[in-house]
Amino acid sequence: MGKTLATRMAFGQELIEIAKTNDKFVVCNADTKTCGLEKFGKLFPEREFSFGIAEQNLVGASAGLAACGNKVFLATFAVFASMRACEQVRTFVCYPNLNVTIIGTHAGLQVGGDGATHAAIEDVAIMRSFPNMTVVQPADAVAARALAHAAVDFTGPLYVRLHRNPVADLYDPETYRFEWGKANTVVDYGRDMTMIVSGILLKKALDAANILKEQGIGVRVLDMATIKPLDKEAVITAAKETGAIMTIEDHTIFGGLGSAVSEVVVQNCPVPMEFVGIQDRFGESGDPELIYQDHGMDVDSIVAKAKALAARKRH
Amino acid sequence: MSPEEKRRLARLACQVRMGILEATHAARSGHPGGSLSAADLFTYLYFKELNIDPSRPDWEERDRFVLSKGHTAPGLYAALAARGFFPKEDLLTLRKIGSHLQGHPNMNLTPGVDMSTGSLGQGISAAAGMALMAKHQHKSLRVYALLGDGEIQEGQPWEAFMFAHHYQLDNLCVIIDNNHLQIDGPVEQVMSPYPIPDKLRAFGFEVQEIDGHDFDQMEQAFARARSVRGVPFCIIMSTVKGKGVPFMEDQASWHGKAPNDEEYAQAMSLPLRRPRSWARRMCWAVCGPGTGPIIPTRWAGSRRWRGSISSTITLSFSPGLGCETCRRGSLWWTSFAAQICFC
Repeated sequence: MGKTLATRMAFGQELIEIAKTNDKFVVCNADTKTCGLEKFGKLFPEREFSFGIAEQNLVGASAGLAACGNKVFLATFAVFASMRACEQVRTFVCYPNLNVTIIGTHAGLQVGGDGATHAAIEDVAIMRSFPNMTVVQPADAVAARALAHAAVDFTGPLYVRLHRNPVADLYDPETYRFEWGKANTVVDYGRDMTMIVSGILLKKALDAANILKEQGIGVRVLDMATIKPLDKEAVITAAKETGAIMTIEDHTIFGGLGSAVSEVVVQNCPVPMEFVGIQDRFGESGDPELIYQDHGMDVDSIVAKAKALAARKRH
Repeated sequence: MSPEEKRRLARLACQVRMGILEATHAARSGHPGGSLSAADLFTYLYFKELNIDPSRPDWEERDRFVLSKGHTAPGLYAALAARGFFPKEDLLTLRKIGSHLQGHPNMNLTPGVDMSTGSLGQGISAAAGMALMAKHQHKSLRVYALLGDGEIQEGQPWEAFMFAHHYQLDNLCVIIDNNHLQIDGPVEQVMSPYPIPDKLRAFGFEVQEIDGHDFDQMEQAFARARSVRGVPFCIIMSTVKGKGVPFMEDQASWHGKAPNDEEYAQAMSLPLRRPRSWARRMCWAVCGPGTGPIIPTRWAGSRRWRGSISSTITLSFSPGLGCETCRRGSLWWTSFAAQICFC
């Protein structure tokens, strides 16, 4: 604990480490300081391709590279990968089911100062709607590093959602294991409700769970690193065993983790739900913590919403 | 190119055109106009230019072809079928449920299709990526991409062109089918992409302009494309939309409309010219006695003789049944003096 590193940097740095002993993949960059992969070309000049400021060609040509047999990692801001090159991802990566990993960085409201234009708040909704696509999001640098190894061995379209600013390590690198499509039970304080979290807001969820524990509300916290395909069993079990579910994500409340979880809940075991996420408006420039607060995504808001949910459950 | 070679290609192009008509008619939808304008190119690529093996569609060293103007899939499918990648009967399943012949090409379903395409302006990026990967893997294969003239109104091709020049993709040959028409009308009226050669040259391409219905010019241009080093190559071919079916030629309305039963019958029973009796006798000498030779006026690839024969009649012309004597192949006009069956 105590170490801090952005998930994007952890993922990129680990990919560079892996490349030293694994020559089965190439990297495509688009003139953005995304995840430290800008250095990839200096270390492996034959295996890095610069595309300039041209994301549509970045994705289209990456599909062509992958169609000739190589694993391709492409990196750009999540907002451009999911929207500027949205159709290219859909039609040229997902439809032909090509082996391209799209690294989308600067996700959610955590980008802060850049403001609404650069804050990807819809990318999970977009990416998870594409057939063949897998969507993952690590909660900290430890998970991001583990995910880098998993992504190298992965075959098919993959969207890796990463955050810009450093976050504290939550996991122990000695014990953490990433498993595709499996929720990770981080804490299990009781059967009053389950918080299902994806990404860096896991820290806030754990803080809230600890506060709630002291106040007599027992919360189970699941880290849903794989948003698609969703661990349905874990969701159904959580609904049955705890009777209430709160989803927490740095993403619009429409179409992301909350929607994915509720799709499973309503079909299998309807229970009261609460959605913590970005409200139906754009982000803005400012201190990310203040913006989170504004959208009810800070620890205090999560605690308050959890109490309200627990009350709804009792009625 | 030898006259025999040219006649062989013309005959195959005729098959491709018939395939386009059969497929779109059976599907009751599809895009015959741009398929027909590129039919000669499809034929040339799949029977002369591309280093491919129909028995091994996934052969790693094969040349790649990306149909960036993916809506002209019927032309690609007809050429692939003619080349033996799959049975010709499959063409009749175009756009039908369960068929491997989707409305736009799918690389995972159709043997011989190297890239899934359909959304305009995007296939060229994939082709450029393939060319780059071939270089990265030190492979000698070449990549060909066909774009429409309307397609380059999109922005993405210009990103891809910049990229192709930046990475010196001399193994990439871009072909632009300049058939002058798009859905709404003439390209220069809808949104002029002209002057195309100047723009491609400014993007660092070696450019050659050809008649897209002339196999000699194609041969010369593709030979030059292979010899160029350090820069990508672009062939801009002037074509006639709907080429080969008189009532479809130069008509924007045939961009995305399938022939109905009547139009199909009309297209497949073109006005054919009955040769003079002495010429007919000459043909019989080659083919043996029968009902006599027939000539599809436009598909034969030459118009030199137009007007030189006075009497014309309409004969039914069935696919692959050009010569009623031997029931296969087609008949070809070789000079003013004689028709000979090359079945």
